[in-house]
This record gives sequence, structure tokens and C-alpha cells, in this order.
Amino acid sequence: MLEFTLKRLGLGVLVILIISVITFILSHVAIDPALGLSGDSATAEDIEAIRQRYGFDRPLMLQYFDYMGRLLQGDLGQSYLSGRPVSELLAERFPDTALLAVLSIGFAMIVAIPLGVIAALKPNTLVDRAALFIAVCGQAIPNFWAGLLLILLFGIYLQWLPISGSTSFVHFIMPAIALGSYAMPALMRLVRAGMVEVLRSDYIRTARAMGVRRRTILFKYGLRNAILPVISLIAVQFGFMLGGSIVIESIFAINGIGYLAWQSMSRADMPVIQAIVLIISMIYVVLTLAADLLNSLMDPRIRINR
Amino acid sequence: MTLLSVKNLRVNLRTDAGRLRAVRGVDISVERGQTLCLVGESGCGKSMAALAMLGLLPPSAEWSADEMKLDGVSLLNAGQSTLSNIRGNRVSMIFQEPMTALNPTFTIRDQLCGVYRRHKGGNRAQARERAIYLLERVGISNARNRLDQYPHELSGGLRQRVLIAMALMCEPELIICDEPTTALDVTTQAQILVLLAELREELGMGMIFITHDLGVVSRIGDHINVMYAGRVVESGTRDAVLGCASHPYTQGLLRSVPRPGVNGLQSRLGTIPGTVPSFYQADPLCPFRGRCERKLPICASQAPPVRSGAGHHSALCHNTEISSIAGNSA
Ligand SMILES: Nc1ncnc2c1ncn2[C@@H]1O[C@H](COP(=O)(O)OP(=O)(O)OP(=O)(O)O)[C@@H](O)[C@H]1O
Ligand code: SF4
Ligand SMILES: [Mg+2]
Repeated sequence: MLEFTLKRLGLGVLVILIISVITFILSHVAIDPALGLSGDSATAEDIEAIRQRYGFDRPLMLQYFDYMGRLLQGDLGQSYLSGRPVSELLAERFPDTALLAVLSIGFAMIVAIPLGVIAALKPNTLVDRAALFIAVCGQAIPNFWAGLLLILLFGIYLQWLPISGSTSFVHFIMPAIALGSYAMPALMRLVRAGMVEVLRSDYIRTARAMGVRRRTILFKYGLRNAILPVISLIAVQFGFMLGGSIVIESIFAINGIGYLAWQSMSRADMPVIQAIVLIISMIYVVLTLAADLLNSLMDPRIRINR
Repeated sequence: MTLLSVKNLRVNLRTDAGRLRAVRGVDISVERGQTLCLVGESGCGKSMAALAMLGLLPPSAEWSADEMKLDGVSLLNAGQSTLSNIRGNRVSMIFQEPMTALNPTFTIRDQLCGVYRRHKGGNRAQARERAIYLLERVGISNARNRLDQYPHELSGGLRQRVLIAMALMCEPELIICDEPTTALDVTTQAQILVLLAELREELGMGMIFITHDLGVVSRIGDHINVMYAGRVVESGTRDAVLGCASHPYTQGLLRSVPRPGVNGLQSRLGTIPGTVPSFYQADPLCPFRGRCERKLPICASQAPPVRSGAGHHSALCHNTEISSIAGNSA
């Protein structure tokens, strides 16, 4: 188990290293960093001066090691736009995005798991169809459209919820529903498929033949086995949400990572983009590792070195 | 009193092709301390008949019976909760596939003790003692340590033993074994058979043993129901049915059993040509008529009569005499 974890961690570090190389090359080769730093009104001499001062004229290898050295000390560089440290910007924006992500994935799970179970219990009936319909709607309605509909209904027509900002918890309800309902259908389908398969399995028949109660069969025996593949999907979706949703954050005026990414991309603020990409990939690595560990905790068959 | 008595059991399965009549009027009767074998080719409805008795039929199935009594008490109108209280407690069932029949995410202890505490209550320690006792009894060495293992850590033979132990946790009166040895290698098969026979003897249970292997039947059966296309075509004591087979189908089955031939070689003395028909309509005629060597003209127009002889030996056929003698069938 420990060996497995270490191996996976090593692999994760490797992935992050590779990504750091790629983002570094993109930010130093695709776009001239001196150009980015100097601003629009700079003359050719200004740019050259900056290039020398920041060492952009040195070999790329050296620059990369410099960059990594600073990275290890927590220095993510400075924003071209605001001139503020990138780490400060991220720390400022991350809490809102994280709260939104937690609420969104929570909403998706709360809807998807019961719906998937119910659909699996009555396959090909009206209940199943209804669940599928909800799922298809969730997937077919684009994020921004769902967001606008919610704003119209709950924000403007019923006036139950605030339509923009991120100052209080209630501000996050609508964006979480909008973002979560997009993640929900895939989850629901996976729960349903897993549950249908598990309920057909031999060991459930054994449990029934032994008189195990229906409740126990469904929620203890059934769900535990059916949820295994779902965990990995939840991890991926959660990682996706932690990267920030540009669309949802813009619609609801939440000042999160997604919004920051969008701002930076539209102005070619490379250090910020670079940092965001790196952090998102780190989050992915950590989350998939966590999902694998959780999986192996719940499924003894994939436990290694017990 | 007869432990389990079932009369005129019928099971239909809704399929795309229509209602498949999987079991078409089967009588089953098991006494305490005795083994009834259900024998027949694949698809003749053995499993469906057994599942119907426990209320375990798939959702696509519908069933009916004129009588279904466990120890004199009718189960015909029993609800799922009554049946669920009986299953694993008074009547247990073990299946063909030991590799997949145990829950992969729970330990042996969880699964065995869960059954015990479901029916008998009691505390963890009692359930654990019982589990250890039974694991040892079914021939698992090192039972204490096995308790915390997961199914995937055990071989097929061991898993089947665990399943037998699970089925016995609550000391059932009746155990239904649906081809419990088919998926195992020959040596393990023989060991499990001996074990089951011993346990039945020791615990005084009734047993229904489903198989298509007449060799197995001759070793553990007291009574035999030979099934064909959803019907019992011949039934009687083991010696009567195997010694004086009267139905052409039983005779054909017996001819197809491999036995030591000349030069000590195993020789298959012919199989019955053709396959088991499926019925989507009511059909009272003899289901074997398409493959029968002794078919008479009447077989195509009239339902076969029940021919009975001494000791409950009977066969469903126009062209047979029950030849077993009373002394043979005791
Ligand atoms: N879930 C199902 N849906 C539809 N038909 C089924 C289903 N299960 C079994 N059948 C059909 O019902 C008939 C009886 O099946 P059953 O399983 O009782 O046979 P069996 O005698 O136990 O055979 P085997 O030796 O292969 O286990 C067969 O024709 C089979 O194809
Ligand atoms: S009833 Fe006729 S067809 Fe059927 S087994 Fe007897 S002889 Fe053969
Ligand atoms: Mg079967």
C-alpha cells in the first residue's frame, strides 16, 4: 500500500514536471516575455533593456532552472498586468472558486446518486425514463443558459436569491446548481449502470438467497460496489471545477480562478496563466491519487501489499 | 411430515419471443434427511423451479402452483418479507459459481456473521464462534485467520466451502444446491460432494440437489426427478430410476453417461441426438417426441399418461411399463 502510494506520488511529480516544462516553453517561446513585461507603449530599446535585466536572453535551460528554483520557494512570478505576485492573486481568488466547486460537486452528487439508484431499481420503467430525461436536460443545456434561466427564475422573477457577487453563502447557491447540473448527468449514468450491473451480480443473488434485507442489499452491498467507478469520475469533475469555470464565474460575477484565467488569457498575462495551469494539474494529480487510494480502501481486490 | 411439498409448479418468463414456459407443472417433495436430485439437460427448468420455491425468480418471471408447503405451512401467499425470513434461515441455497457468488468488498467474517445476525440476532462474538465452527466443519484449515480474508484471496474450492458454511450458519432444514460443483475441478468436486452428503446426514437436513450429472446423482441421491423441457418425466427412488429407468429420456441419459469401457478407456456410449425444445404455448403432448426412438403414433396426438409402479416410481410416457420391482425401490 505504501509502495503503491509512493509510486503514484512519484508519477504525479513527473507529470507536474513535464507540465511545468511545457508551460515554461509556451510562456517563453510562444510569446516573448519581454514584450509582455514592457507593455504596449515600450520602444524596441525598452524591450531590449528588459530582456537583459530579466535574463530572457540567456539559454532557455538556465532560465527554466531559475524558474523552478523560484517556484520551489513559492515564488510564482509577477503578473504582467498588475505587477503583483501571482501567488497573492491566486490566494485571493481561490477560496471563492473552491467553495463553488465543493457546493457544485455536492449538488451533483446529492442529485445523481439517489436518481441513479432509483433508475437502476426500476430499469426501463417510467421512473428510469424520467431520470434519464433529467440527465439529458442537464447535459444538453449549456452552462451559461442554465445560469441565465436560474437568474431569471430565482433572481428576478421570484427574487429569492441574489443574482451576482460572492459576499455570502447564498450567493453561491445558483452558480453551484448551474455548475453542478452540468456534472450531474455523467455521474447519474455511471451510478445507474454500476447499480444495474451490481444488482444483477451473483453475490447479490447469494445475499438474497441468504435472506439479507433489501435495504442492506441496496445500500450496503449494492451501492458500495456500484460507487467504486463513480469515485474516480467525481475526482476528475471536482478537479475540473477547482480549475474555475470561466462561464459561471463571469455570469454570476464571482471573482474566482476561472475569471482570473479569462482575464489573463485575454491580455496574455503569461505568468498567471502558467501558474494556473500548473496548479490545476497539481490538483488533478492529487485528486486522482486520492480517488485511487479511496478506491483501494473500499475495494480489497486492488489493495496492494496488504 | 413432508418437509417441502410443491404441486403443479409453473414458471413463465416474459421474453421478446413471448412467454417462455420454463417450468410446466412440476411436483417436488422432499423429506427430512433425504436428498432429492433434479436431473436434466441444460435449460430444462431446474434452476427456475428451485428459484421459484425461494421467491428468487428474476423480475421477468411469473409463477403459480397448486400447493407449496414448507413443513406443512403454505407459502403460496407468503409475502417477500416472510420469504426473506425463511431464506438463509430455514431454507438455504448455494449456487454454481463460487468465484463470483461472494461479495468482493466484504470479508468472509462480514458475510458469514451478517447472515447469522440477520436471522438469529445475537452478538458479534456468538456469530464469530459459529462462523469459525462452520468454516472448520466444512474443511477450511486456519479458520480464524480466514475470517478476515476477502473472497479474492481464496481459491474456487475454498469459496464454495465458505458458501456452504454461509448456507449452514442458521442450521437450515432444507438446503438447495444448484450445480454446486460444476465449476470446480474434479478432485475438489468429489470432496465437496462428500462434504455435502456428510453435512446433510449430520444435520438431518433435507436437500435438493440440482445437476445434469448422473454420476453425481447415483452417489448422493435418495430420490430423483428427471426433468425434461419444464416437466418431470420420470421420478422415483434412486435405485428405481437408475436401475430400472422407464422413460426413454432417462434411458437415453443413462446411455450417454461416460463409463469405463474396454481397455479401461472412458467411452461415451452415444448422446441423445437433438436439443431440448422451448415452449411458448401450452403443449400437453410429450415434449420428448421429437427425439424419441420409441415414439408411437399416439404420442403425436395425446398427452402421455403417468405410468406408476411400486414405491412412487412413475414415468410420463405412452410406451413404457414401470418394470421396477418393489424390493428394488425401497
Ligand atoms: N432471466 C431469464 N430470462 C429469460 N429466460 C431465461 C432466463 N433465465 C433462464 N431462462 C430460460 O429458462 C429456461 C430454463 O432455465 P433454467 O435456468 O431453469 O435451466 P436449467 O435447467 O437450470 O439449466 P442449466 O443446467 O443450464 O442451469 C431456459 O430455456 C433458459 O434459457
Ligand atoms: S410418450 Fe411417446 S414420444 Fe414421449 S417418451 Fe414416451 S414413447 Fe417417446
Ligand atoms: Mg441452472
